[in-house]
This record gives sequence, structure tokens and C-alpha cells, in this order.
Amino acid sequence: MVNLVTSDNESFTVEKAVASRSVLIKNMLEDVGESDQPIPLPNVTASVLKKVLEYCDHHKNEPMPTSEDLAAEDTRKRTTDIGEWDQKFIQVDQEMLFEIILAANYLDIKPLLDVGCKTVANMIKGKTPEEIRKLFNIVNDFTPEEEAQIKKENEWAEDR
Amino acid sequence: MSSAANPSFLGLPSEILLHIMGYLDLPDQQALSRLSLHLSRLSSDPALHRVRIRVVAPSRVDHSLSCSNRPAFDELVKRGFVRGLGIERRLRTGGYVYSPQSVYQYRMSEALRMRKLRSTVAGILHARPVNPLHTLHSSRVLPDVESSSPFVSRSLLPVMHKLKWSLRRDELARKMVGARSPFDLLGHDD
Repeated sequence: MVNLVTSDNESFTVEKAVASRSVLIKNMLEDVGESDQPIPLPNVTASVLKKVLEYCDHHKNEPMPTSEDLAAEDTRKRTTDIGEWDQKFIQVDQEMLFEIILAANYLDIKPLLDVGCKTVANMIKGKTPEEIRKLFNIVNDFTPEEEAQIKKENEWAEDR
Repeated sequence: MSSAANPSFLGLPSEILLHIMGYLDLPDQQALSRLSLHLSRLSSDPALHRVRIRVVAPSRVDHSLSCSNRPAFDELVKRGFVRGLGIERRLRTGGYVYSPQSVYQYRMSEALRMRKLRSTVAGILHARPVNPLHTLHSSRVLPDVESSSPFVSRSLLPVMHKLKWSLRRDELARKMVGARSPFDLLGHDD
């Protein structure tokens, strides 16, 4: 069993197989060896870690993606299809979604990062700039000249 | 993670934003580039487009060609996407249908078919009655030259009269109801 401590000082005790889905924790465990020392995760809050561990627990029996798989993933078609369970898992509010992506990035859980990024990509797909701006609450920081310049540069891609 | 307190789309690190953009097609990437300076710089990242052109596009084509729900050749023939001269029979008998020769044969057969069609239509047009308008007049489909209206056929005239009369009556009735006094009515009616 592995003991994880979040930034808000909550501790989670999980199976080694579950925690090892995170490459960061896996490497830590290998470096430290067998020990009962709790692993501090200063960048992750309890609510996010709980969600991340739920994902790791569900996928704990799958083989870890090797570096070859990761290379092959790039040459494979890049679909935004998401597995059924993952899809249900990732149905969270926007803030939580970004928290999960950041945590997956920090903990180095590639499949979870992919699920998160695909979900965001699916939210963006087919929307107009205005719709995306509203969706993610993005403030327009262009000067009028810059905006005209961007528009000009993108003219070639305009024709859908 | 500086933005951990309240993460937002733009608060994501650049490499994650690029990862997300990697899943998007050009129109969506272009939409993103219009949102902020940061996104517009990211969307012109050379590595992103290198992957899109060198990896994503060719593998998409590969996938479309090899995916399991791609219809078989005989299915395409049945649906009429692949055509040829007697192609269904040839396929059934195991004949070779992929040669340039069979494409040529099909084109010739199409040209012949069109020619036959043209001559059939020409024959029918030639054989029709001398004055087709005459038959239409006699069956009172077209209005007569001597009937009172050039726009309405003779058989419809009584109906038209009735209709016009009812319209006139309705109009009068509306005025009667709307008028406050008989003098009003007279004032309006002239």
C-alpha cells in the first residue's frame, strides 16, 4: 500500500498497482524502495486526487503504455473517441476538468491526460470563435490592429 | 501550477493547449487563434502543423481505407457507386473488372445509350400532332381567344364569377360593420 498526501493535507492510502498508474509516483516508489513514508503531492488537492484515483483504480489492470505505444499513438489516427467508462468519468464541470488535466500532467498519467484533452477538444469542435470565447470565458486581448492582422493571416483557411 | 486556485482554459500550460489543438482540425484551430494573442501564437506552432500534415492526415486516409465498415467492392457495385458494362454479371462470374479497357467499354456503352435516348425522343417529337395547342383548346384547358378573359379558361368562368361576387359581397359587409353611421358608409363607398 502507498500513502499519498495532498496539498490540503489529506492522506490517501491506495494499492501500489493503483498509484503506479502515475509514472511520477511509480518512479518515486522505485527510487525510494519499500518504505512507509507518505508521498507528498503538493500540486494536487484532495477532491482532484480522489477523482484521479478513481480513474487509476478502474484502469489498474490494464498494461502500462510503453514508450513504443506512445510513439505508435502519434502515427495512429488521432481520433477524439473516448471509451464509455472514461466518458462518464470525465463528465464533470469545467473547473474540475481542467484540474484533472493539470493533475494528470503533473502525475504523468498519459491516458488520463489524453481523455481530458480529447474532452476539451470535443467541446471546441465545430464552434465559432464567439461560442468558444463564451464557453471558456476568454477575454479578447487583441488590439484592433492585431485582430485585423490575425484575420488577414487566417483568410486562406476561412473557406470551410 | 500557478493557476491551481482557479484553473481556466488559458491557464493550462502551453504544451497541454498544443496537445488539445493536436486533436482539432484546421477550422477549429483557426477559431481558437482568433480568441487571444497567446492562442494565436500557439496555433501557428510549426510542430503542430508538421504532425497534422505528416502524421494525422495520411493516417486518416489509411484508416478510412482500412476501417471495418468500409463497404466491399460488390456492395459498392450494388449501390451504383462503381459502374461498368454488365459489371454485376462479370463480378458474379469472377471476371476482371478493374482494367482501363472496362472503363472504356462502360463509357462507350453510356454514349450509345444517350444516343439511343436522343433518337427515341426525336422520333416521338416528330410524330406528335401538327398543332398541339389545338387539342388543348378543344378540351378547354387553355382559354379561348374569343372568351371574355384571356387568362381564364371557359370552363372556369362561372366559378370565377361566383368567386368575384362573393369577394365583393364580403368587402361590402366588412364596410357595413365597420361604419359608425349610414352617412359614413356613403362617404366611404364612393
